[in-house]
Amino acid sequence: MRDDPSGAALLNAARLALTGEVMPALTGRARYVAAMVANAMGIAAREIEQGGGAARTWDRALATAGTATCADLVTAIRAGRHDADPVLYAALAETAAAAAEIWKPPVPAGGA
Amino acid sequence: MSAMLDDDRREALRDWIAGRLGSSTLIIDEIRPLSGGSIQENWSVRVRMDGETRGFVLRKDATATIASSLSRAEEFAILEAVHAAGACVPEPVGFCHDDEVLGAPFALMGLVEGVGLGPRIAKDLSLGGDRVGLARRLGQELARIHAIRPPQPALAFLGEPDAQPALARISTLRAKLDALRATRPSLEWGLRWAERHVPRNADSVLTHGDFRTGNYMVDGRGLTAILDWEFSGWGDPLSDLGWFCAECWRFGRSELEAGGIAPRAAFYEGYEGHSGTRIDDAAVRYWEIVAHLRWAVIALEQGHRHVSGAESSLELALTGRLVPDLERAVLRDTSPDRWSATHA
Repeated sequence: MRDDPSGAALLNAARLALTGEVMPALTGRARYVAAMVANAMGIAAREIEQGGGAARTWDRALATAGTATCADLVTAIRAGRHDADPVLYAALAETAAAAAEIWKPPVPAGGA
Repeated sequence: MSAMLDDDRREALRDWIAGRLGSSTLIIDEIRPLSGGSIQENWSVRVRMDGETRGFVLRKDATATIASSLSRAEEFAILEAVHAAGACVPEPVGFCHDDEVLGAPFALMGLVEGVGLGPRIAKDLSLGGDRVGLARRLGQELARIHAIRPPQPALAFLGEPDAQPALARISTLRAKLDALRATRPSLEWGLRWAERHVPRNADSVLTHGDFRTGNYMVDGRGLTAILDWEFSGWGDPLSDLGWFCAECWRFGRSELEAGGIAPRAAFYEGYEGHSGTRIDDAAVRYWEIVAHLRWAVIALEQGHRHVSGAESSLELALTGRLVPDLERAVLRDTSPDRWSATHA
């Protein structure tokens, strides 16, 4: 049983209030800091919503590589045991994409 | 600093500047803090002498320093060398080694007006003059800096150049990851690719080490000064070109491959025209991948400063979180089809 609105929904509402109602009145350093706060709230909200999926990409990457821990995978890559390995590459690309989309949501085509 | 600078120190500073400039009648009109990096404390100093006003920047170590950066005295020696070589930098006025004056050594440089903030330069087209001209000029300036070659007795503190600058960089980055106990397989993938695809060595030159949009200043007409010399040292000249062109330093203008300000060709043209050498484009692109790896490791270090409690800062915390985006860029450029079959 979870109370609504959820933590992520609260963070999103708070972020919109900050960017829509508070930030327009700010200038200089205060505006810059407020933008960073809004950015941090967005990351935290996306992590709550998407963090589970991102964690599963790591489980898949480690299973793909046949290693138990990230540290073992690092050792194997440095030793050259995965040079140009297309299977590991695809798994790593998935982990990076999942984590990067928590950092910044994908921009719709042509919207940059 | 006025509040922190008692009358004795202010008087000592006045005497030191007066001695340096040979003007006994010099008066300090104003001393005020400038927003600066986390590595230095910067102050603006305005003086009056012989009926004329002059502005200076005083630069002193802040409490938190990064181990890999140069000391203020070394940075000043670099500034003197590149100034003598004709590069567009603030005038090096003097260095005070005497702790008695301000409590720590400091450098005094000519004040240069301009805007340095990277995102603002990328967006505000009223700055920097003609952008193709600005990129060409930056290429020329970089070639002027790279004309300084080892050995240079005044820069002996830089040590011997690395025989293999790329391999040295990779080994430094791995050591930093280990020191942070950071396990980042995507960065390791990129570092391993970089280790196996080292381009042919260029001769060592003086590299700026952080030559990018955000570390030079412009006014409405063009370049006013190249700043932030604390990471300079002997290295591969193309590492500076790669750092400048890397997508992570284009501030949202990714189509403008020369630092988010102009097409790459303009920057190359300026560099080639001044140096008389032909740029190895593939090697520059190699160094762009290494640039993303390097910036990712720095971002991890900055995030760690917040996480470890060494310096609580939202800015540092957020910087730590941009690592996956850099990893994505590294992976994009090091896909399995970009690995050569034989060991480099």
